[in-house]
Amino acid sequence: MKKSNLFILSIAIISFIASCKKESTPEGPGDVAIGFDNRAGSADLELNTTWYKNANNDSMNFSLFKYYVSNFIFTKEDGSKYIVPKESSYFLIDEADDASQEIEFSDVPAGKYVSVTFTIGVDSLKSTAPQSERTGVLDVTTHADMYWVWNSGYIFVKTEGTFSQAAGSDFMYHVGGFGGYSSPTQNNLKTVTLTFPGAPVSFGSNNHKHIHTFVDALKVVNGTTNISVPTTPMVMGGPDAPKIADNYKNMFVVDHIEAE
Amino acid sequence: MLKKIYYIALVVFFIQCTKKEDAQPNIDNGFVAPTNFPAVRYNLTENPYSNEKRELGRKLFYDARLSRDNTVSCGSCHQQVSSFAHAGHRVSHGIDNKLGTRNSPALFNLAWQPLFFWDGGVGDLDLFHINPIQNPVEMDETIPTVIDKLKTDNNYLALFNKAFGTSEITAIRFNQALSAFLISIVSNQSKYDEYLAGKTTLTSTEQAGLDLFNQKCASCHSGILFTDFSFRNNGLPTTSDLGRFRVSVITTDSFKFKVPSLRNIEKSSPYMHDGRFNTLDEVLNHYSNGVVNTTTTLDSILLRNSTPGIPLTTDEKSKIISFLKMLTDNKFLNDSRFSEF
Repeated sequence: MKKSNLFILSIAIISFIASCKKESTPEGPGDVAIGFDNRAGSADLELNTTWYKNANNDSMNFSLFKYYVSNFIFTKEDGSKYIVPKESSYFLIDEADDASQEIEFSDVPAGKYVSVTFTIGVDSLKSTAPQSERTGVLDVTTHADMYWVWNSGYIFVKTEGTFSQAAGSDFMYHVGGFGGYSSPTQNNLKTVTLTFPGAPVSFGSNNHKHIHTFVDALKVVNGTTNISVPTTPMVMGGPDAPKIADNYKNMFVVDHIEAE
Repeated sequence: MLKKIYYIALVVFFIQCTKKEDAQPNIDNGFVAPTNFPAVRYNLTENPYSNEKRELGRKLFYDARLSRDNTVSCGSCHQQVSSFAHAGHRVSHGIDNKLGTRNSPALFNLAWQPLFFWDGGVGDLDLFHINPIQNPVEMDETIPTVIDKLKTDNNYLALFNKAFGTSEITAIRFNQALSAFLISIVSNQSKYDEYLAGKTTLTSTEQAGLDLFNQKCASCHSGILFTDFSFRNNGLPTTSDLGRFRVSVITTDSFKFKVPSLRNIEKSSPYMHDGRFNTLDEVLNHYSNGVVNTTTTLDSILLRNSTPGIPLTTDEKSKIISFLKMLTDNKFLNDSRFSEF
């Protein structure tokens, strides 16, 4: 065999092996982002400036809309699940803070996914964890506005505003309640599963994805129990809180998923 | 001469012995629970106890800088002489002379307490301290501001360094130091404790009081801690305060409040969750003929007789009070390790 032929053959073999290798390497994990696009019905939610109507035909002007989402799980089409590690699975979404509305998960295993599941609020285990395990958005001293100190626990969903131009027309809906320490208390933890439109959707190192969700603030008061805002303007825990939690568990929907 | 020295040495030895005994409860060599107490509830693994943390916590407890205008400290409403309750104050008396809605409770044996507040709203002692500090009618301050205030004080930098190994002042360390001090406040040296240890005997009145107490009171004020930590409606005429319901939102919890310990009860007047009674006589009169049956949650123990309440004669009441006074722990009330100065 001529020397040049040998050379060409070697290259061919090497490239063959290389290409083989490439084909047999499964796609690596990828980044998945979820955007929380807060809305009021079909319109974008604008704090303080815009009036909206709820199902009860009450006017509502929102000044604040914040909520905790946690314990994210992505489900594949074969039913297997990717559970996001606990330490990176707690988020506080705040309409007044754009950066908070975009959350990122790195190293989501490649695969074909059909849905995402998460908890609205902060689970009971984390709600009773030592203070040293409550960092970032769970720090009860720096996020004191989202924590009831007198009834130890996070406020899961908090929205405030006015229902009329008249003075004294404020509404405040604060819902928390993880079930209590050694003696039971109200439990308003809700877990929701959002299916992906056009599922299954491929995630992976070649398929970084952005899941765009719509979150309808009006669904705090619209739903199984349509709350009359002028009649029940203040709910800070208490007997009406479970009704509101039953409403807002339906406020999330995936609008679309796009490549990043 | 030698004999004299010998005697002096002997006396010194005895004094030391007595001192050692006085040092019970043992909080100077780690947190050692009294042997006849139940298992400690406080998480000592998360916040290991040390004398340095206790000392820092003591400073913080008595520091008025924890309040907005630097006038109110924890010790303002929790005075050692009153078993860390607030003598003469029906409800808590805070900043700008504002009043709270409930009686500031006595503080001791907190390491064994599962839930804090009259309604049990807080389940972790470390997360308790935020409450009075942030409450607009108590200290009206924020934790981040308190931390900033402390950071300007070199004494605190040194104390945090001693307690935690570096001088960094954080909210977690602040809470843990206060907790270390609070759990160190153990009361287990009353005359009753001495009686249990076989070191003293009871008078016949005290013995009669103990027997009556066991028959009539100990179903709720049970065990060595003198409480079962349950929430109960004891038949007080109701006010707008729904008690445990406020926290649990469970209808059957309406008008229920935590059963308090009766240790040092002689010293922690006024009584009940809203401090409505000034004397133990008034308290026992309530149980004998003041219980009202106007709610659906009145404790079933108070419904065993034709008249709601606990049948007690005047003589029985005075005997029970004699026994209750045996629960006064003068060593705890005068322990310099818990004092402001």
